[in-house]
Amino acid sequence: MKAVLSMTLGVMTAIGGFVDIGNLVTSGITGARFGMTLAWAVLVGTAGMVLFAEMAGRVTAVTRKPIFHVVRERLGVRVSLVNAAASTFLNLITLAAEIGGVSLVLQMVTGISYLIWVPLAGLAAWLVIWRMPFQWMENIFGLLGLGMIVFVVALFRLPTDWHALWHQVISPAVPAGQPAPTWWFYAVSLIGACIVPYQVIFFSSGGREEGWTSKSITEMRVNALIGFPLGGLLSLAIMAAAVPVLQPLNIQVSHLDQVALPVASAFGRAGLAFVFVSFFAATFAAAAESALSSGYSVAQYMGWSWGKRHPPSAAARFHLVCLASVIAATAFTLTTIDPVTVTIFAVVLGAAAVPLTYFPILIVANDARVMGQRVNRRWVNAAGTFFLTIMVVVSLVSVPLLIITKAGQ
Amino acid sequence: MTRWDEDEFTANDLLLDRELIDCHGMPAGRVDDLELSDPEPGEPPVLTALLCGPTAFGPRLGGRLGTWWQAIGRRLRLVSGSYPNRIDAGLIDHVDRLEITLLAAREHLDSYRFRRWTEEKIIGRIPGDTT
Amino acid sequence: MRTSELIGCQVYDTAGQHVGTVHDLHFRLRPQPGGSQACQLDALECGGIGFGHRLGYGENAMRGPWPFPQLFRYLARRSVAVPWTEVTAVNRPRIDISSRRDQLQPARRQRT
Repeated sequence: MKAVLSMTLGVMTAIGGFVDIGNLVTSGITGARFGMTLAWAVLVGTAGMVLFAEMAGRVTAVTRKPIFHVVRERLGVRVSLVNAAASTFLNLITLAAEIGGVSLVLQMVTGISYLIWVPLAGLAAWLVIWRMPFQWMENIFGLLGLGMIVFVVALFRLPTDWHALWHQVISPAVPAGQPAPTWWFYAVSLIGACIVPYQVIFFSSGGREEGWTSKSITEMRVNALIGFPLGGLLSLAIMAAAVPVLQPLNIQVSHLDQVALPVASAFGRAGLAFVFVSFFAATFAAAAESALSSGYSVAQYMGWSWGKRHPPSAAARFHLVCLASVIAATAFTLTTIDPVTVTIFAVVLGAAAVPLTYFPILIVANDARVMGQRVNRRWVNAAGTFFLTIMVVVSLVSVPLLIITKAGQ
Repeated sequence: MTRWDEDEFTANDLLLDRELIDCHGMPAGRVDDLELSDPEPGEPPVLTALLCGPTAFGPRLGGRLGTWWQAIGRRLRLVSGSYPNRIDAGLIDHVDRLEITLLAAREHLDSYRFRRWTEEKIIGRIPGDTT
Repeated sequence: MRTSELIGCQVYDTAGQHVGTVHDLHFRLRPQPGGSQACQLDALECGGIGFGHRLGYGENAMRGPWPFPQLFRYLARRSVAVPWTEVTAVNRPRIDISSRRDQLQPARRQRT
């Protein structure tokens, strides 16, 4: 009974944990502009994330090491340095986007400018990392994030044209009047919003914080195979809810309140309360997680002790990196660069960097000397290579698309 | 006596870039380079120590970045001299595919200095650090 | 002497032919008087792409994914092991040896 409860909790926190500012923004924008024609990108991204996370989780559970541990050993000094530098940079941009996201949610609730909230959000995120026990952090914010189910419920309240939406999902095409490069650009951004490097680093390091071993593989798989897809479903619901409300009015989503509009339209204030709480939980948790991921990546690469399970003085440099990341990201957000723009950049660059992070995991998962019986099976390898190829293609087109479409105009 | 999981291996296989774990199970850094005895005629060099730290990492990186990394490492050193932190081969307990375990505690290793400095000067000053 | 002084050196054989770049050092455990074991530098591995070996494809323990094992085995086919006893001079970035390239054994024995 206890195991079932613990597994349920794990799934629920995975659902809430999957959705962050990247998903909120990209789903909102694409639903309003392209209907459900980009739903396939969410499916591709979610499937990729599930594959990636399961493999990373399995490597972590069997080796009892977090994945960044093996990056340096496998890739050699120079290539792994590029990997580490790219991961750190991405974690920082993502952290800045999430802190921006938290502040935007608070601006939505209180009406006070988001810039006032930025330093407070940064401080709060750091305090959570510094003091709050790991499990509490996971559970509280994961569960609160489930409030986003209100978007699913809203779909039944709103004048949703289910037939049209379904048709767009199964036969996607660039909608009339929309430029194709922009459509592809947002496809990349949706994929990037699902496969975020910090999430895999966090999934793996978090697993070690909780003491995963080979015996934890089933639990890990349940989280990845059920939790993440359900999170993807929530993203799709946010996208779908935008269609009846925002698309007819030709609203170009550029603010977070517009993403919440469909729920306000369906349920008024009561619905908005769910939105505020769940959006806050999702972005705040993501901020703490990406800051922790900065610490995890650097400390694991350098071989320092890391993790919240040690008292801070026993993992001093790890905490220093987390602190420095929060400070840097907060300072960046205070430059008043639009958080929504930062989010778009973060997900697109994140998508571009996936092959670099995924490749060493795929390699280690194939090493029988390390994985023993848990080495990749043939079909997993086939799926993995296929997915890697897709991500390499995404990687190659992401920056050109970013430039051509001027970040999604 | 050091226990090795395999009796034939290469530097990249088992030694370089491996994580070091001390006798209490705490991470103690990574192997950045290996020290070998100077070759004598008829005597192949043997492994004498593991080397850690920016002054060992820099030369492996090579190029301008490596030189720069090394220079920064030299600046940050609390003792003079540029020879990297050395862990004698006799201190190695066990070597396997994932990590290298040592016989000493990490506080007794040369590489402890940087950690200790961070602990005392920065983290130790923030309230709430003793959980 | 440090491994960083050896790895990356260009190896030239007795006829002045370029053999390859050192990408790894092969060690063997040898019992010492007194009961301990020393890690002795046995050979220098040089030649083609060291990256494949680095990733673990030099031995037979990697399952895949396709086409990596095949690809790396192909790239590594020119890797050779230079026994330390053949080394005559080490002057970074150059190492001279006393045998000819075609007399050298390929690197890596196949292991299950």
